[in-house]
Amino acid sequence: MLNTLDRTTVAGLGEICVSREPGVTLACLGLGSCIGLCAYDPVARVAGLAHIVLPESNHNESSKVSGKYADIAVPLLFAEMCKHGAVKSRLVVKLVGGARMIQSAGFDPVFEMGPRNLEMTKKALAAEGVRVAAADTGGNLGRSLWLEVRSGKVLTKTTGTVPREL
Amino acid sequence: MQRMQILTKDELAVWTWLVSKGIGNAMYGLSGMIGCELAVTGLSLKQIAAKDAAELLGGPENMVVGIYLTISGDATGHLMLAHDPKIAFELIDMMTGQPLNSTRHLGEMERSVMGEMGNITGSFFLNALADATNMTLTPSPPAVMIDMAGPVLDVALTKIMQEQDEVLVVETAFGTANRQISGTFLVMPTMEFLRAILKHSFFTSIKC
Repeated sequence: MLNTLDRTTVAGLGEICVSREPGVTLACLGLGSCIGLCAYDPVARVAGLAHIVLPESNHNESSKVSGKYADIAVPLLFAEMCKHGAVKSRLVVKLVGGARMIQSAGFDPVFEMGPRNLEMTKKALAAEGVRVAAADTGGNLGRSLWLEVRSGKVLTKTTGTVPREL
Repeated sequence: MQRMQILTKDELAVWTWLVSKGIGNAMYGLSGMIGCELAVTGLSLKQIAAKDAAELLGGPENMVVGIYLTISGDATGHLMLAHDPKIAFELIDMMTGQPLNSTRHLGEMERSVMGEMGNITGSFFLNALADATNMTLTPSPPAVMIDMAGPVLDVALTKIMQEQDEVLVVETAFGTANRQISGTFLVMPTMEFLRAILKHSFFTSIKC
């Protein structure tokens, strides 16, 4: 389990959080079709988390929430982490979320953002030359995740289950 | 960032009036369906950051049963009827004529009952708006979810966040006289929806 004395910083929809404070845990609470992109440099002990909402920006970069689009969030998260002393080649990346929340017939698949978010996030990671070390994605249930800055440990919890280490 | 235009005082008055009329009609329809009278216990219009929207349903990790419908026709938007799971189960018991505490999970039949509740609420709400504005507004088939508030709201917020980072939301709490049954009905219009509906309201003298 995580250290309960840690201070939790929550990345809301479209937000990016980066920390190198050992007493901090970064978290995404209640991910559905969104992606929680966790990155950790085990040498510099820098942790980063992006709460990705949509796959593509279509060059609309006017949004204030910088982590909203997968194609922008991935390079931006890495750049922010590098500013804090991380080195891109050392990053351990884990993906959580991307669920298909609607299972009803009659709903346009355009409402299924989860699989599209996953695909675009993986594509953006590949473009950065970063591979995914572990993932807890897909399905049709929500998830929460916690990333401990001290250790890089990632815990995920799917609705109705207990947290487990990823 | 595409900051939403804040509605003018007149526009806000018209939108509030339309929403109240729609919600009054939705409660009338829902009361008929569940067989007891529901009243609106609180109604507020808010402009909030999309990332804070889950707070309207008790926080991102709070378990809810959400019934989601999209609006199509002359304007697009999103409707979400949300209940605490315990209350949703009670509503299912009431509507299927079972003793209380009979329902303990959402199977196919239970989802269908909840979906029907969404159909009634959505269509009664939209009918009132459509009548008042001479617009065609159609609800989609309902999608029923039982999950944390964050994932449940994601389905609507991802669509809204394609256009804007803030969401104009009408939050309605309702219940019976003894408040044993309560729920939240969220109306999340797109800016295009608001513009269209306000334009129609001004051009077709509203039947106040």
